[in-house]
Parts: sequence; C-alpha cells; structure tokens
Amino acid sequence: MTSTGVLGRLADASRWITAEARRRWWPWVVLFGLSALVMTLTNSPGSYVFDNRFEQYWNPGQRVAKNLTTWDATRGLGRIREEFWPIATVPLWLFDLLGAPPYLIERLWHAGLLCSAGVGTMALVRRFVPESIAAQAIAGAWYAFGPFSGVFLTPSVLYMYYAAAPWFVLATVQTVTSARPWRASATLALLVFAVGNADPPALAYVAVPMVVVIGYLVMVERSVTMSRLGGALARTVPLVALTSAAMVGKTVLAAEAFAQRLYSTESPEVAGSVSSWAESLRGLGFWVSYLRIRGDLVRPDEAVLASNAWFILVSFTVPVVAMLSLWALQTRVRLLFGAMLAIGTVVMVGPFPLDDPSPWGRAWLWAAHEVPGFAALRSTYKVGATYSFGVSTLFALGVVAAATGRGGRRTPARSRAVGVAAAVAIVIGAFPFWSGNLYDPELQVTDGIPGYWMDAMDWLDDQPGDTRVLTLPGLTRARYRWGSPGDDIIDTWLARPHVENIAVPLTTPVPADLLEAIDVGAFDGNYEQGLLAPILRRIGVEYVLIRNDLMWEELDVRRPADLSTLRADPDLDLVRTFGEPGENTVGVVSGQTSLERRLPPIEIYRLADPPSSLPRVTSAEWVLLEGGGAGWWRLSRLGLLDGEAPVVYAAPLETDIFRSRLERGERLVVSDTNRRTSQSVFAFTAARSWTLGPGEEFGRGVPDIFKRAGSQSVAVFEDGAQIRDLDAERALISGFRPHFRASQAFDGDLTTGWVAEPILDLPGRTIRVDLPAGLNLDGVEVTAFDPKRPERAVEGESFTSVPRIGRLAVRFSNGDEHAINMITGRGRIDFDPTEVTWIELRIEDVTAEREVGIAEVQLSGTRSDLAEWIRTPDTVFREARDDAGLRAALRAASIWYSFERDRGAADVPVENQMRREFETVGDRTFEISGRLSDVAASPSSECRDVGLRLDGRAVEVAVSGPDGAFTGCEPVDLENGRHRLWGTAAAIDDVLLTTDDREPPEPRRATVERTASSDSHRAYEVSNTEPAVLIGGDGFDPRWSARSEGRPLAAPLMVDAQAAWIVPPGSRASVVADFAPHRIFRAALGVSGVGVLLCIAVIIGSRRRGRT
Amino acid sequence: MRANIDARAVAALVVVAGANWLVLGARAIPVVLVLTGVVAVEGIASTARHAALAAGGCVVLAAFATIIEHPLGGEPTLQFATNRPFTNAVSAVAGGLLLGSVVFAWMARREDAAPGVSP
Repeated sequence: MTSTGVLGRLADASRWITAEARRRWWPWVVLFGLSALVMTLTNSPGSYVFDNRFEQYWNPGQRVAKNLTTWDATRGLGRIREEFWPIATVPLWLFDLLGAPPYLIERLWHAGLLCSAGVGTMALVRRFVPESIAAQAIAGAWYAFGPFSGVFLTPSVLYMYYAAAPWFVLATVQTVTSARPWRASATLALLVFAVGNADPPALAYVAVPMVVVIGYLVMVERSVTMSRLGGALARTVPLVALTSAAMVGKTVLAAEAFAQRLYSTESPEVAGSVSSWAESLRGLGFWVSYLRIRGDLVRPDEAVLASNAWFILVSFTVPVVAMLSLWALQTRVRLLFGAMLAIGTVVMVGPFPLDDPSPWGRAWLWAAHEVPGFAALRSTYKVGATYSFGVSTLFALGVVAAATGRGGRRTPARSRAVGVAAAVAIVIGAFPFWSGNLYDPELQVTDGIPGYWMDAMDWLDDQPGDTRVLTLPGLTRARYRWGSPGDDIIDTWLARPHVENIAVPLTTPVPADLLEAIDVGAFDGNYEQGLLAPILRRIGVEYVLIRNDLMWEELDVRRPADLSTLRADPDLDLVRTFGEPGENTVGVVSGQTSLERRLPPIEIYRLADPPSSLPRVTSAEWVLLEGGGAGWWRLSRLGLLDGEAPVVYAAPLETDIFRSRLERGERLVVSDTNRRTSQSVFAFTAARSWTLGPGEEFGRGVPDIFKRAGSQSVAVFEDGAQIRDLDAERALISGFRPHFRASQAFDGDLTTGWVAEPILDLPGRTIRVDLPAGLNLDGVEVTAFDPKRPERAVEGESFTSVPRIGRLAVRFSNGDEHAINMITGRGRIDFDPTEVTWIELRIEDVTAEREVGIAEVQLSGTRSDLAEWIRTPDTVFREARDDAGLRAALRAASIWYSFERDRGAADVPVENQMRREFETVGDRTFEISGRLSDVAASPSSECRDVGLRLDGRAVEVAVSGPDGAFTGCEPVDLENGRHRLWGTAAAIDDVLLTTDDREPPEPRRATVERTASSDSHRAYEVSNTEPAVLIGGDGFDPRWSARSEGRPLAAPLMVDAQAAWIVPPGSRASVVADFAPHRIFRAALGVSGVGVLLCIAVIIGSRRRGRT
Repeated sequence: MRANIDARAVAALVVVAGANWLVLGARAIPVVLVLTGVVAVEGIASTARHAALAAGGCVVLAAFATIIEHPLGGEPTLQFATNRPFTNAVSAVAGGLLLGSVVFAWMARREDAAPGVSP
C-alpha cells in the first residue's frame, strides 16, 4: 500500500470518527475514558492510593456482601452496617473477578467516574446547546478535569455524586420533556438506587441543579407546564421510592452510626474556614486542601493550587470567561447556567468569613447547630456540581462565541487562536492530572501488603473457637512503615471477630466507649499487670494482636516500647510473632529504643485463661456501675471482675430493677468516669476534649452514650460559673489539648495554664468567665505560662526569652475595658471596686506567632473559688430525690466511690490535683483508701496528712505499701448530700470510699451453648437453676430481642456492654435472639429489587416501542 | 436622560438588594447602589450585562490579588482565605454582581432576542 493510500485511509477514518462524534456517544466515551485512564494510571503508577475504604479495592467481594447485611458481628462487638453502595462496589468486584490488582481496580473506577462526569456534562449541554459540539466538549472537559475534580477526586465515593450529577440533571430534564417520560423516570430511579447511601448529604446537594433546571424549563424556557411537571413527579416519585427503599432503610436503621460520624468529624465552622468567594469561584475552598497537621500539609500534592501563580491565574480565567459570556451572549440558556454558577457559588461560600458571616452564612451556622440533621450539609463543597455546570458551560459558550466572532464571522485563524487558548487553559486547569499531583504521595501502598500480615490473619482465622482478637493500638487511619493504606487493613481480611478502638466506631456506642477505655488504659504509662485480662474475658477476647510496624510518630499513637509492661503481663502469653525482628519496626526517629529494634512487626498474645466462648450465662450478683468504660479498669483493680459478676451500667437501668438489685445487697460503684467530652477526628486518631460542663455543647454535638441526664461526669465551678475558650472550637484543627484548657488559668496553680496554639491568629483569642452570682472586683493579675517549661512561672524565671502574650485586653460585663501589659510575663491592673457578671480576656498581641499561655488569672477583691471540680454521675441520686423506695435502698446499699486523677497521655497531666464532687444518700460511714505516687509513697504506719481533704477537712492516712497504697486512719462520716474531695497534692492518684467489703456469695452453676448463629440471628441452649442473665456476645443495641421456649423475654439489658436477657430457671431452655432491623432491611431490599426490575422493564419496553 | 425605573425594575432591584444583603450583608450596599444607578440609566436588561462584565472585572482583580496578598509565604494554611482583605472584598463584590446579573437577566428575559425560542 502506498503512503498516499495510507493517508487517504487515515483521512477517511478521521472523517468517519468526526461524523460519528456528531451523531453518537461512543467516540466521546472512548476519548474521555482513555484520557482519564491514562491520567489516573500515570499518577503514582502501580501504587494503591488511599481512597474511601481499603476493603473496597482489596476485597471487593466482601464489600458487596456486606451491602446486604445488617448486623456485622465481626467488627467491634457488632453494629449495623450502614453502607449500601451498589455502584461503588459491584463494578469493582467484577474487576476483581477478572483478576485486576487493587491499584488497577482503583484507577479503572476513578477513570470511570471522570468519564461519566465528562460525557454526562456533554450530554446535558447538548440538551440546551445542541448546535455546538465544541461547546459540549469544552464544558465536559472542564467539568471532568478542572480544578474541582483535581481536588475532590478522592475520596471517590463522594466524587461519585459529582460524576453522576450530569446524568441526574439530564434524567430530570427528560422526565418533563421527553416523549418517553416513563423511561426518564425509571432512569432517574435507577440512578438513585445506584449511588446508594455512600453520602446522603451529597445526594441532597445533587438535587440543587435538578431544581434549578426545572425552574428554568418552567419559568424561562416555558417548555414545561405545571401539569406536565406534576405528571413527571407522579411517575418519578413512586419509582424512586421503590428503588431507594433499601438505601433509605439502611440509612434510617443506621442513623445513629451516621450521627456518630457527624459529631466527631469537622464542624460547620471548620468546613467554612477557607471557602471564600475567591476560592469558591475557582472551584476550590475545600478546607482539607489547606489543612496542616503539625506544620505539614495534609494534602501536599494540592499546595500548588494555592501557590503557583500560573495555576491561580488560569483557575480565575475560566470564571472570568464565564462571566463575560453572561455579558456577551444573548442566548437564554445563559440564564440557566448563570443561575447554576451563582447559586452554586453562594452555597459553596457558606458561612465564610466566620468572623463576620453574611446573613445567609449566619443562618447556615444557626441551622447547622440548631436544626437536627442539618449539620450533615456542613461540607458545602458538595454542591460543586451546580457550580461546575455553570462555570464549565458558560466558559464553553464564551470560547465558542469568541471563536465565532460577532455576527458569526468565523475565520480559521481566529478559531485556531481561540481554540488553542481554550486548550491551554484546560490543560493548565487540569494540572493535577498530568503533573503527577493527583494523589497524595504520602498515603499510598506501593509494594503491596507484607506477607507477615496475611500470615498473621490466616493464623488467627485458623484458631479454633469464635472468640475475638483485640488489636493494639487502635487507629482510625493507618500508616505503616511499609505503606499508608489510609484505612485500616484488618477488616478486609480477618474473618474472626476483632475489636479495636476506632475514632469512627464500628460498634455501638457503649461497647465503643469500653474499647476506647481499653486502648487508653493499655497504653497508660502506669499500666498495672493483671488488670487487662479480666476486662477482655468479659467481651470474649482471647487474642491480643500488637502491631509494631506503625509510623507511630506520625499517627499520634503511643510507641511500641510503651507496651513493655503489658507484654510482660503474666495473664498474656506470647503465642506467635510474624515478620523478622526489626522488620518495619524501626523508623528514622530519634530515641528509637533497642527494644523496638528487636521487636517483630506483629506479636500475638493469648490470654492465659481465655474465655470459652462469646455468650455466657451467670446468676452471680451484679456490679452496678455509675460511669462508663474507663470505670472497668477501676472494677478490675478492685477485683470486682475476677469472678462472674456481670457489670451493669446504672444509668440505662430501669429504676425498679435497679432498686431491687440494691435491696438484694448488690454493690453500686460510683466512679468519676464517663466524662462529658467532645471528640474530634481530623487525622489518624481521635482526640477527646477536656471535661465539659453540664449542657456545654462546645459548638457541636457531644456524645452521650446513655442519653440520660446525670449519667456523665461533668466539670462544675463555684456558683455556676463557667470558663470557656471562645475560639476553642475553631482552633481544634490539630486536636484537643485538655491539659492546656482555659480553666487551668484559674486553678490557683502556676504550673498549669491555658495555652493558645497559632492555628488561628493569636490576637483575638479570648477566654470568657461567666459569673452568674456576680463578683466584686478591684483588680486583675495575670501570669504568663510557658508550655515548654511549666515550672517557669512558679520558679519566678524570666519570660523575656520565650514567646508570650504582649498585651491582654480585659473586658467586663459593665462595659469597662482595660489593657494589661504582659511583656515581662506578669501584669496587673487595679481599679475601683466594681461588680461584674462576666469577664473576657482577649489577646491583643503576641511577641511571636508561637504557642503562648496564661498560668494564672487572679481576680482580687473576691473570695470566689474558680477551680474546676469534676462532679460524678448521679442518675440514681437524681431518681432517688423523688423515689422514697430508692432512697431507702440507697441508704442501706453497699456503695463504693472510686476517684482517679486524670494524668493524661501528655507529659503535662490533665489534672494536677484531684477535685471531685459526689453525692450520698443518708448519713453513711465510709472507709477510705487510695494510692499515692512519687516520693510521698514511702510506707509508714504513722497517720499523716498527705493533702487529702474531704469537705474541707484533712483526712489522715497511713501509707501501707511500696506501691503508695494508703488507708484512712479512721472511718469518715458523711451526711446526706453533696461532698467535695480534694487532693491538694499532685501525688494523690486515686481514692476509694467504701461502705463495706462484703464478699458476694458463689453463684450457682449455669451453662450456655450457642447452637446457631447467622447474620442477625442467634440460638442458645441455656441451663440454669435460678434466674440468670444471658449475655449474648453482641454489643448492646436495644433492637435485639429474644424469646425463651417461644415466650418473649423483656427488652435487652446492657450487661458487660452487650445485649443480655434475664432468663428464668430451667434445666434446659432454648433461647433465640434476633436483630429486628434485619427483617425491615430485607423487606426494603426486596422492594428495591422489585423497583429495579420494574425500572429496567420500563426502559427496555420503552426502547422497543421507540423502535416500532 | 430618561430614567428607566419602572415597576419591574423596582421589583428586580428589590430582589437583587435582598439577595445581595443575604449573601454579603453590609458589604452589599455599594453593589446595590451602583446597580441601582445603572438600572436607572440603562434599564434592567442592559444592567444584567454590565453587571456580568463588572463581575468578570472583579474576578480578574481577585486573581491578581490572590497572588499579591500572600502573607504566608507560599503554601496554604487554613488562614489562606482569611488573610486576604482585598481579594475577599473584590471577589465578594463579584459574587454580588453575578447574582445581580442573573436576577436582572431573569427579570428581563422577555426582552431577550434569543433566536428560535419563543418568549
């Protein structure tokens, strides 16, 4: 064949493809699909990059199966699986079946989404601008590869809504304009089914352009009448209701899990901290792109978007052209896309600027905090599809108009110049895609999962029985020395039930609280051997997996060496290790211990006396606990977990049951646990706030596992005073630091203080003290705090060499304002005596943009105590105020009070001194004991004052052992009412008050065997000679129900953090338990299945009719 | 010069003023004043176009301001957007003008001479 012949054939092919591209979609699908695939494959080639859930790509078949389940007992103590992600799982599973490796599955999925976004936008634009293929292609290219896609592609499960949005809008248009409206309605219903509930707020945001386009068709284009619209709704709503039944069902049934995620992740304020008009207009403003943790960008690959001048100019050029289109064009369709651009941008901006939001932004913030569920919409960038339709299409129309010229005077040179300029703009806008910056370079797995991990999980799965595995340390996102999968990997392969402390819990709230307490206690520098195993046995844990290959220095988790005491615990036997000593356990960090150099990456310990199986039955006396999961460590130390006694939380227990248990002589332990705290999850682990006051919301929902007033330990101040850091919510980006809370500046202790981090601008940071009773003041004295050297203030050292506050403004409720010069580290103002009800201390300037703090604020002229007291939970005492029977039971009950100083995880203790407020009923006499630390612990039988105060009186004790244990020299008498216990010395670590030390009787033998277990059904054979409690093995969820020999049992109790039932005596009884939501979900799944089949039938039928 | 203020223009101005106040607060005042003046002279259809052109101009300013107002030394932080007074001012004005443009164009849609589409 001659060269002329080849060129001729190529020219023919080119003409054919061009002709096809004008009539058909496949050339565009190929073009967008191949472009997307090339770009996703050439970014981080061969590496899996963190995206959604690890399981989605590495074991997609399991992920598909989990879509269809409700109760998942393999993770935590069990929880309803909330996800229903058909399109985000099934295609991936098919790729897996075809043998694609995980990274390729991931890139195919990403490319598919980008292709859907581009071709979908072309199809949408074709509906309104049918005459210009160029406009359609340019709009599709910018929508798919513009800055918005570059930033939001991962997590792809959220981007999926952006990629599907054009099809949603197009289907909406077809429902009201198509000659085959049923087909369009069925398509829309199938789209709703396909995206599922991966992110319900994103689905709500997809509705925004759908509403805008309907408004355009009805009011501007006037191609749609109201009756036609009504008809479309009448067709579409029932079909959508059918197909979305499973998704809605799961979302409603798992509402608590969604809510749990909502209150622990970013607040509306954080989400709106960078969404300025300027950033939103160029499709950016996603707060994570700008977030730094410990000085490092969380997404370093996106830095260029804000720092490269060329990229900045181009990213603004496209909206400028879009606005010029609004200026220059006459076509009415500009109204549709102009409205989308305007509305999309307004919603994306949201509450920005936070220090002076617009009325819209203010209303948005109000709704986010006050309207239940509205906070789910806090991430306003999810409306990006609306914005992008507007900007992409107007840009495309502008380019085409510029190429055409006024009056349609198109010249080849002009067209070429404009085309080249547009192409350059698109290429620069797609910078992340072709520059290798599409994915975070630090969250990738390049060389696969180490073999030792797979071996460890296989080995655990091969062990007999169905007991659980505890993984230490718990993580939310994992970074190992061999790679950063982002998500945890254990869920993906370990079939054996396993528990772990995860910030976004995979178990119901009460067990999650216990797992968090276990994790914290295991890593406590003061861990006591023998305390962990009794707790683990209660929740069916037999194996403890310790992972030593984490990049702990990056993750804010404790290092492997911190578990040395635990490793030597005689209750734990090292049964297997996986990997070579030192393999992936040593990083480039200073102070790496020789122990860590010898550790294998995985150690597996087995409890010396493991639990026999998950369910257990016992007729032993109960231990009633006022408090939460951390209280279990106290029970373990007190020996109360050594026998069979089930732990029953007092807060959720019905009063009648509680009273009868007290009357039987069962023991109530009141602890200072279950602190009222807020939680934040921004990076790899969760952070807990300091203890909040009653009703204090801290700008976000506060978890309350029992949802009962008085069930939490709370911080209280004299006369109802409150001390707050007004900017703490906005400043908590890098997590809470309870040891540097605002109240530390009012505790009379110069070694503690409030510290402000330069997360926000330091000038303006404010502490507010509310004093409902009013105070008469004549002066304020402030002492600076050096967080690097807390003793600086108390030892009188100079502050001139450390960053500090330069000037502090003090404002009073009467309007007076004074300035305090803090340049020497100390400042004072005096004024005429004045009565105030609040005071604000605001930083005016600082000597350096570094951490600065205040050690102490002394308000002179008043004797009020502004120190913080922790009030123990008091649900039963509140109940007793109106219940004479309960009061009488409490007066005679066996009650122990257990208090422990919070020493925290940092070098600086959360509580330097223990201050507790608790309540008693009736006049009672208590024995007192406890423990001291440090030098004060020298044993002596001599009675002495170690700084312990009870209601202001000194309590003399004798130190009885080398571990600092002490006992009170005399019993203490306490009258009915509230009492305060104060350890004036930092050495007082814990205190126990007891009314008696009665040993409970030995329980009669009872046995249980689990005879059947499936997704949400259990069957047990129980044998017991007296009433006993059957603890089923599944984490507590009130929707579990049980029947014994066919007769329904009462609602489940919360025992050992699990669902449990009192079973009547009998030689052998069959008990079956079911998770009720499972039936509901199955029914909803059936409805959705019918809906999907119906929609497919409608589409096929419609197509056949169309052909005939 | 004859003022082009009629009932429709007043209604459009009220909607634009309301929308601008909602999304900009007090920052909307200069935007609304300027738009009122332009409407009085040009009518709402022309004002819609002028507002879009002005919005584009403001975004151009915002682009250069984003580069120039770079107090943090290059890479972004969460204060990236807050520490840009001029960028924020001109881009907010752009947003207000964009809203105004869309509302005016919508109110004036019957005056458009789009070929092939009946009013």
